Amino acid sequence: MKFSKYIKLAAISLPLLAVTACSSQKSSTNEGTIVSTNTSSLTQAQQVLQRLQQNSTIYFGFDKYNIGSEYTSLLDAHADFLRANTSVNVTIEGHADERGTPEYNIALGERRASAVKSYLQGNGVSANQLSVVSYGKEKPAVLGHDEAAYAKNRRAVIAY
Amino acid sequence: MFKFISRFLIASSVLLYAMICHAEVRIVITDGISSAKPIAIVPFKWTGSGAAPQNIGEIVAADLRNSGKFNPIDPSNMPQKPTTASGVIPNLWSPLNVSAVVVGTIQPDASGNYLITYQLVDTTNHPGAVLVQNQFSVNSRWLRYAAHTASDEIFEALTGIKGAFRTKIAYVVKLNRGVFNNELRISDYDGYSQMTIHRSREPLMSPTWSPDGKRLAFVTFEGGRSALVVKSLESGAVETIAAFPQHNGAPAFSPDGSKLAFALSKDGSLNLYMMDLNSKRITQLTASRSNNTEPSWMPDNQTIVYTSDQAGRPQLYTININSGSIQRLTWDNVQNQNARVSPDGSFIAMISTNNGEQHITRYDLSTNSYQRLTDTFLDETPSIAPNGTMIIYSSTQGLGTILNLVSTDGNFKARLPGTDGQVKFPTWSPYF
Repeated sequence: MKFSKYIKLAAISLPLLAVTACSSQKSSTNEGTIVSTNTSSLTQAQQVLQRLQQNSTIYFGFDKYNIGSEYTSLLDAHADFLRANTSVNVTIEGHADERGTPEYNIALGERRASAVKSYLQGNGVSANQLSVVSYGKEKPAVLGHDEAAYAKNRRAVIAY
Repeated sequence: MFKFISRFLIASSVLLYAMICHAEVRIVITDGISSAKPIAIVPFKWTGSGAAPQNIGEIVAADLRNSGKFNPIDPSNMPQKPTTASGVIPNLWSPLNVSAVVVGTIQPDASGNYLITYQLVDTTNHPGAVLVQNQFSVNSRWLRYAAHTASDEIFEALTGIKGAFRTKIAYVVKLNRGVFNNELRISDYDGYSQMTIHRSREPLMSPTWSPDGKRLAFVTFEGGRSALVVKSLESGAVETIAAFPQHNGAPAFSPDGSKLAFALSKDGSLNLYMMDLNSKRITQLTASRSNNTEPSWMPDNQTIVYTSDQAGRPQLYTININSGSIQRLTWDNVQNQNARVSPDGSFIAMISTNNGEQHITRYDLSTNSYQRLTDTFLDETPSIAPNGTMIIYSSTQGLGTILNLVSTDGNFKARLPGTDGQVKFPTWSPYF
C-alpha cells in the first residue's frame, strides 16, 4: 500500500520537475518561489499533490448537479496540475445520497462526476486524463438519515 | 422422485470453493398471522435411537407459516398427536378451526439413509381423506430439502399454487470488517445453508439469476470501475459481459434465457442495451440523453419494463425490443422505479415515492391500480418469488440494511435480519 503510493508520487513528481523547470525559464518575476534543487522540487511536488488530494471533494445540493462557485478555486488548482502533468490520470467518482434506488442513483452520481469532468475539460485538461465512475449510493461517506448526512454523501471526488 | 436432488446439486453442492457461513439470516414474522388459516403439523415421529437428526415437522410448519397463508398451531395446543392418517380424529380438530392436519414419521433405514413419510389429512370437507402423501429416502444432508419438498406438495394441495420452498435467494452482504468486505451470498429461501460465492474489496450490485438457476449476473466495482459479469455456479467461472467506460449495470435475463438486458452509460447517460447470449452481440435499445435503466422483462420475452427520467422524475416505461416502440406505463406517484414484473405478467412490484417516502408498491397491469404493500424505511430492490406469492426486498433499519418479505397481497410481513453486516440486493431464484 505505502510502496505503491510512493511509486505513484514518484511518477507524478518526475514530470512535474520538467514543468517546474520550464516555467522557471519563462517567468522571471517569480524567481524567489522557484525551487532550484531536485530534492526540494520533489518535496514541492509531493506537497502540491497532497494538497490536491486533501481538497478533492465537491459537494452538491439536493437534486443538484451544478458546481457551486465556492469550488472553482479548488477545481482550478486540479486543472492547473493536470494540465501541467499530462501523464497523470484521475478518476472522478460520483456519489448520491441514500434516497432512491441503487441503479437509478448511479445516474445521479454520474451527473455530478460528469459536471466535474466538464469543468476540468473546460479548463484545458485533456479528456484522456479523466475517467468517470459512479457508485450511486453504494459508498456513502457518512451513515445517517438526515440532511446533514445526505449533504456529505452527494459528492464528486477527484481520485489520483 | 429423486430428480429433485440432482437438480438441486447443480445449484448448490457443486460450489466446492464456496464457504459455509455460520452467521445466517433468519425469518422473523412481523405481521399477518391473524389473517392466516390455522393448520396443524403434528411433530413427526422419530423411530430411531437418540435424538432425531432433524425436526421435519418444524421445518414444514415454518415453511407453511412463511407462506403467509397458514398459521400452524403450537404443538402444545394439539388435542392429539397421531403419526398416521388413520389416527387423525377430525372432530377433535374442528373446535380449533384446523381444516387440515399433517402427520408423518422419520426413521433410519438399513442403508444409513432416513425414510421420511408424511400425509396431509382433511378434517373438514371430507373428514379423514388424505389429500396428499409421499415418502423420501435421503441421507442426512438432504433432510431439510426433503422437508421443503413435503412443504411444496402440501402447499400446492391446499392452495393450488406451486410451492417455492425449495428455491434460493442471492444477496449482497457488506461486512462490518475486513478488506474483502463485499460478499455475494446464496442461501435457501429461509436463510439456511448460506454460502459465499464471490468476494470483493469494492461494492457489488444488482445480482440476478439466470432462468435455469445456474448463473448469477451482477455488477462489480473491482478494479475501481464498474463491470457487468456472469458467474457460473457450477464452475465458478466469471464471464465479463460489459466493461465499457462509466456504468455497466442493472442486468436482467429474459425469461427464456436467451438474452440479457442491461444499462450502459458509455455515451453519457444510462441507456438500455441487450446481449444475445448465444452470439454475444450487443444491441442498443434506447438512445436518449435522459437515463433509462432497471429493465425487467414481461413473460413474452419481447417487452421490457424500465425506469426512465425522460419526463423529469423517474417513471416506468415499456419498450418492445423488436419494434423499439416506447410507451409510458405509470403516471401516478411522484416517482415509480425499479420495476419487477411478476412471473405471470399480471402485476409489477416497484418502488414508489410519495411525500419523501419510498415503499414497495404493487401495480396491477389489467386494472391500472396501485397498492402500497409496506411501511418499512427506504425500501429498495424488490424481487418476486417464482410462484408470485411473495416479494423479498431490502430496507433500512438503524444505520444498516436488512432483508424483508411481504406477501403480494400485503397481508404478511417478515424481516430477515443479517447477523454480520448489511444485507441488500436480494434476488429470488427460479424453481430448480
